[in-house]
Amino acid sequence: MARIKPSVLKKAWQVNRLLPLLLPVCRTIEVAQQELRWIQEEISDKKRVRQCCLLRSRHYPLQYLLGTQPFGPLDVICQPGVLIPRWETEEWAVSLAGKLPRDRTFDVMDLCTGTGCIPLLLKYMRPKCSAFAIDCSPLAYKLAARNSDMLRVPLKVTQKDILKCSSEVVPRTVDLITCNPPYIPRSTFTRETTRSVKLFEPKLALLGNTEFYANLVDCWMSRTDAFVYEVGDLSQCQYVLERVTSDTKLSKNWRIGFKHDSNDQPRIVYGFRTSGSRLNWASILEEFGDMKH
Amino acid sequence: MKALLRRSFHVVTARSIKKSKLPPRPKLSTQMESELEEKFLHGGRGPGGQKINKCNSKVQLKHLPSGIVVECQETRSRDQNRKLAREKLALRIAQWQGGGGPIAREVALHEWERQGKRSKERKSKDKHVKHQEVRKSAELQKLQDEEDILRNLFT
Repeated sequence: MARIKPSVLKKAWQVNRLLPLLLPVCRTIEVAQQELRWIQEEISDKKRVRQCCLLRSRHYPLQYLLGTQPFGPLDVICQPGVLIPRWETEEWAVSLAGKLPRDRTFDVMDLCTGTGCIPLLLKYMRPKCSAFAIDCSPLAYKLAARNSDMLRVPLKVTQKDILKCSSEVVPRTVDLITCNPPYIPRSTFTRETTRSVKLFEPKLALLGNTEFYANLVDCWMSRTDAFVYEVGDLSQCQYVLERVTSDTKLSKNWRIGFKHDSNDQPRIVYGFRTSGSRLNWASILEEFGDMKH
Repeated sequence: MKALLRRSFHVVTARSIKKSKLPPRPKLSTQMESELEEKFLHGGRGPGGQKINKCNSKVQLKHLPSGIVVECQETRSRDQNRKLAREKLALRIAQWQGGGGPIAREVALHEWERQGKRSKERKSKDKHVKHQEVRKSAELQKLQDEEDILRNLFT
């Protein structure tokens, strides 16, 4: 990344002495000013504001400093050790929630839930559904339960490692499974991941390649009518598509689609049963993304 | 007496606009909503997702019939930014429909501010006049007292 010019640093210092601290992450004075305003709005103590700016200059995530991250209409609590919800996730979760039926009851299960943002949002926007969440990390488990309490959105959180003992998870069958699994391959982690993420966010929630998508095809597709999984790149979408099309039984009963985010990156692989499901997923997910199978 | 007169005079003319009774803020109608093009800009063309943790989200709204574009990235919440951008755009559209000049609400707000300023000036002037009168009467009283003392001395 290009260095910050000394002239810009000087200019920032003249505007506010704290601004140069924010420049390494914000890059421009305008963005830095805005971030400083956000910090000052939430934290009244001047000493603490300075401390926050110092931490920020070392790429410490703003959401851990302020304690929350807006997620659709909700303000989700964030804590070190649990992945911060991303805008891409917010985007598809809001879009998905808007498509789900308002007047029907159904079960949603979110795997690798982290802060619990996805099921909380779905339950908040569609109060008639029942939301379940699973995460293997004890920190995430506690935080998801805390978020459910604070936001007053009922959510049943379980602590289980779905790669090892997915068969123990209750309920046995649900209508929809959502998941934002760790999807950054080790090979691209150092090169493509930003410093703030590399240094301060949990590797457990970041590093992975196809294991969760394999787990989806092996364990979860038989227990759900539809799934929505976030992906890091196209190869992970392709992996799921190939696994489904190569299996004669799955290929007959399931349709698979991909969805891009507003930054034009492949972001979602989703699928639904063509027959025998409680809800009509073909019409619910009609314009969600592009059908591939 | 002078101050009292001026005051009563002002009460009659000023304070015609109340803050609670301003013309309403312009709103986006559902028809306008259908003529919008909404974009979310997060800067950078990288892989995104879990690899990057962006704190800000910019919303860009374009009103197709007029070509007006507004942006909003004031808050951390995309939801909030979308609402603010719509308010901004509604104002710009109302101005555009009114031929580019300020709209009724802005005129009223401007007038309201001027009223406030005028009333402040008037109050400070009144205060000075009052103080001056008090001082004058005190001086007169003092002179009177001195004269009395002198008269008493010589008689």
